[in-house]
Amino acid sequence: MHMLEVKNVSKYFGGLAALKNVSFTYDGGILGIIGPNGAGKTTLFNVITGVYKPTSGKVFFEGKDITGLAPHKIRRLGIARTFQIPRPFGRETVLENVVVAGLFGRVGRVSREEVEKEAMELLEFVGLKDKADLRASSLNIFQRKLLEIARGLISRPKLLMLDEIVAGLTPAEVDRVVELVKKINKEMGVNIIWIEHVMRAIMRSAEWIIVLDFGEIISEGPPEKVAKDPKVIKAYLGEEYVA
Amino acid sequence: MLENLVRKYWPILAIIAFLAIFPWISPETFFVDFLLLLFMYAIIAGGWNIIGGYTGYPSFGHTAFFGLGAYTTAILVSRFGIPPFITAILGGLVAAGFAFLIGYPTLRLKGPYFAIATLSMGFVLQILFLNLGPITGGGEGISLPLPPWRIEITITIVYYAMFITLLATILTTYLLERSRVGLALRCIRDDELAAETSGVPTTKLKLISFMLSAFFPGVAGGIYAYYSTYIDPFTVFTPAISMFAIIFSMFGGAGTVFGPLIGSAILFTIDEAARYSFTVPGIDLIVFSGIAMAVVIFFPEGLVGLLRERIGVKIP
Repeated sequence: MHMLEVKNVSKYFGGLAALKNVSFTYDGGILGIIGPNGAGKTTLFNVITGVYKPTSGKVFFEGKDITGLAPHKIRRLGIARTFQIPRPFGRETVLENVVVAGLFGRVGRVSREEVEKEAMELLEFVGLKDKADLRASSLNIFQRKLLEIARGLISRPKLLMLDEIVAGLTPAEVDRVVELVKKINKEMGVNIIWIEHVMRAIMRSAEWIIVLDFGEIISEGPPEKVAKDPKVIKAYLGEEYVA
Repeated sequence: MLENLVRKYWPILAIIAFLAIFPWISPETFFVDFLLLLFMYAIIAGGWNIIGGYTGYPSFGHTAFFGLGAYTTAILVSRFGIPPFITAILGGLVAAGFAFLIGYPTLRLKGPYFAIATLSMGFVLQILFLNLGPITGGGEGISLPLPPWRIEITITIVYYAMFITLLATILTTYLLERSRVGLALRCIRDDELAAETSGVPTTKLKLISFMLSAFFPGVAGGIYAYYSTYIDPFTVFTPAISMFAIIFSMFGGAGTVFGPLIGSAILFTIDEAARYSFTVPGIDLIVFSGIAMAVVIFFPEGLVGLLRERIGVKIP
């Protein structure tokens, strides 16, 4: 039994194939999924987290078929995600943004005090403690990304899926987020699947990389191997760069 | 404990105490009559606020719930002689049941489907009730038996019924806001997809919120039927009630506990004053529509939001 198994998943939007027969298995650690714009990375996330139903194929989480399950149920099974463009609950406080996922993202009933305490700890961990009582709409892009991470972690997920968590950040901010992600994996023991358009951040963090292009897996392996794969270079840079 | 409560909420408690004895100190029945109608609109606006303000799904047809409540009471009282305040609560349940029927298919969808479905429900019920003559009396409506006592006594009874229903509406909203469900509803309003992926069962909670939002206007409709002793499809299924619910609630502050009451208190008073000052009908609707547009553009969180922001008053 694998932690996550994606089996022959295809997703069509009308005649357009966003994912074509994608299959892979995942058993923990940091998995990076890269690919040029429009490769189908976010669609893959949306299929795994239940936002989209695949046109065909199945998704299994810890042996359980989760294909087409409602997103809130998938969250409760232990898969949390962040959004590429952060989606904070703008009119609620930063603390409430995290608390809601703690109250609803877990199985069973937890006391609000308990969740609030944990949420404060997580806000301290990501570096937003002093913003706890502000409305989330007042946060900048970097802070919003950090909030996405805290909101993901509060439900104590087994798997955290990060969708371009460093896109749009300055190099210094990218470094901080990369450190944070490594900590989440090593110290908290949360498994991570990480989509990134920017190669730099992910190449030094991920243990395994899957490369998507036009909805298909074109390469797979450890970062150093994938980086040298002619098919990957071609997808990113074009034919003429293939040595 | 009790002392703290009194110290913290004394302005609210003072207002409640004043309103509770008002029928006995009012110089004229007119004022009691006026207040009970104000309460009625505050109940409808307060009910609307739960789905439209907190959950972010504006309903354009709350008159349907009011009318269903009114007809439930009218039919049960005139045909079966059931006591009116039991039928009023039954009317609330009928309204909530109807909200389930409308909400179940439409609240699963995002976008304008819900608004359109609610917009049509008032009209559909109006036509339906016009044509179900044997049950509803058709266009002639239904008359309720007059109580055997003086009209002032009826008005006093209805005043208290509306008052208690209003308190129940506000208390429910207050408790809802502080509950985890209330937090989830606000998150649905802010970003439904993010709420769903955070573990919030959005469809279920939207449905509960819609049913709750229908219940109180349904009860108010029942009390109104008893009060007016005569209802027909044109007066209880009127778009004006739906519009008042939205405008009063938004003006006072949609998504706040006291916003709908404050909005109703101010705008209903203006409306009544205008009705006596202008002889041209419909001016109030023009004025209100202007106010609604101004609110949406200049202070989307209504008067309560404005007071919180500018003066820092902590109004729930």
